[in-house]
Amino acid sequence: MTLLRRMGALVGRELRSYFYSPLAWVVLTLFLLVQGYSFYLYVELVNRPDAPHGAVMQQFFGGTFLYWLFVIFVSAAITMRLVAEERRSGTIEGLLTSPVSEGEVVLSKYLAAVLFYAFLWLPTLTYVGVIAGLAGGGPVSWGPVLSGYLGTLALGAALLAVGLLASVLTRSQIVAAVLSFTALSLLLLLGALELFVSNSTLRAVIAHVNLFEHMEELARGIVDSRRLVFYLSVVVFCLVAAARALEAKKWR
Amino acid sequence: MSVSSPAGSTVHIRLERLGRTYGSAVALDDVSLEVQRGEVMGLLGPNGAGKTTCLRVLTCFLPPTSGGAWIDGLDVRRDSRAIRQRLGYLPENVPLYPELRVAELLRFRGGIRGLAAAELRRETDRVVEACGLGEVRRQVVGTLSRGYRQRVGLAAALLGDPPLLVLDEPTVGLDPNQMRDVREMIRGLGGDHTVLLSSHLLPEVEAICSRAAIISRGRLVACAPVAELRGDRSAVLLTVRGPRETAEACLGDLAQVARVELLAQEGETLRLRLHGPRVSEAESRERVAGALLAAGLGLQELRQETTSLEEAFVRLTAGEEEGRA
Repeated sequence: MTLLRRMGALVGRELRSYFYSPLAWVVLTLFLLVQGYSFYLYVELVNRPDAPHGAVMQQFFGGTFLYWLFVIFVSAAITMRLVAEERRSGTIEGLLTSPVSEGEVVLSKYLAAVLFYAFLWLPTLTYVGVIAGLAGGGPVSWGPVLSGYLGTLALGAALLAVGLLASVLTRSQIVAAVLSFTALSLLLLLGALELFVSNSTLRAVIAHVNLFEHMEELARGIVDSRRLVFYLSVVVFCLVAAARALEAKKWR
Repeated sequence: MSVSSPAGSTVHIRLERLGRTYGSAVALDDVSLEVQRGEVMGLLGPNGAGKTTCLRVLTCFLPPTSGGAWIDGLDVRRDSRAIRQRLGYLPENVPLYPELRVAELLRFRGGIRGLAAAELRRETDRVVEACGLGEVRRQVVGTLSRGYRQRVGLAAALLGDPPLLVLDEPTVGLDPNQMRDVREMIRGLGGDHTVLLSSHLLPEVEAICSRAAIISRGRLVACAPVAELRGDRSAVLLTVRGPRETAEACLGDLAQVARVELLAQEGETLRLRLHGPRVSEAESRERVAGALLAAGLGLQELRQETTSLEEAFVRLTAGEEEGRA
């Protein structure tokens, strides 16, 4: 019970700090600008005779590099301040001398980041409404839309965990952002290796961590539990590492 | 090494041969200290002496590199969580979240102590009242003056009424009126609470603390009741009428007097200072008076000269200055 109270206070503080800072509103605005524009492009695209195969929302989730770039950018921007800022300003001292564990601190910060990330995507639900409207009462296949959001959330959950880990490792927000942006880019590009590797075992391994492929499946409505387990293990690994690193950072 | 803590135990904080290094730099070296329950203890030292490091070890923010520290018999290495539940801490420079309002910040700090909603409201109101924060309750922390920030930090440390308060430089940045208020408040906390505060202001420690420990270059150089620190190695001042030789001879014969110093002479009137390790004690003073009267000298004045804590401090920490020179 007191655990919930403590974590509630931690998550609440974190969310307040998001919305009291200009960063949140800048990220939110840019996010909607880019997503809105790409959505418009997809809608235009499917009306052309040489349109790529697939529904608009299917393209919307991971269809272009815009999606990936922005998810990575947003994850780094959301997580960079989480711990680095507290270490720089010294508020970490008040936090870690309170009766809360490093694990609780890391988990709460992570939950706040995921909530903020989900909040960013919330307005894009209107696009689904637009599609339903454009379809003129025709059927919208909800399955792929839902699994697309599920995939975006799972992907974000994993990337945010990596970003949080980066934020624990440094006292500078910029370094944290660069660190997570690089790590996330590498993680993403790892999947692209699949095209160049001939060894079949290695190919299978890479296919397992190919984020592009995961997203493509999910956008088509295929929910493979192996993919979700992969994202979950990234999250668990990063959060445990972050909590350990925070404990170890007790020297200054 | 661990000590069990019987409920009635009077030792609240115990440091034993505590050491802390940062790489090759030694911040704390072999510090042993006990603080009794209900005591207001001052940690005095020049800047960089290791006061903050010492408090950080006690609040479980830094692990010790040698020796150990116990609070209520709980080990800072093993029982960090239980210790943190029992103490309120005002860190140096009062780091606060600048974007939050005062009330929000206090609710947050109370919340992470695990206070339930009703208790949280009551406690927030109590500390806001106690620290005079009523006017700025709704104000954003980043816009507060230094004095108010200091008081917000103090209020946050008081949340949940922990039995031990660790305050790092609690009156820095306050104006004289606020300083007096905060000192009065801290004095009022003694008895029910154990308070350990650090300061480089001697008058502050003299005003608030019952005991003081002086730290210099990471080492404990003195630890005693403030009165004792101040009176330590004090002298006796005399005004005597009579021949100088007689006076010096009769005083020099006393075992308690190590040295007689002539301060001034006006005709038959002599002003003298007597030195000796125990010369200012009551018994010695009686002997001095007796000897002077027996020798037929006129005793006009005899008083104990107490060195101020400041002098004691300068003397005890002098090694540091020499080391730097």
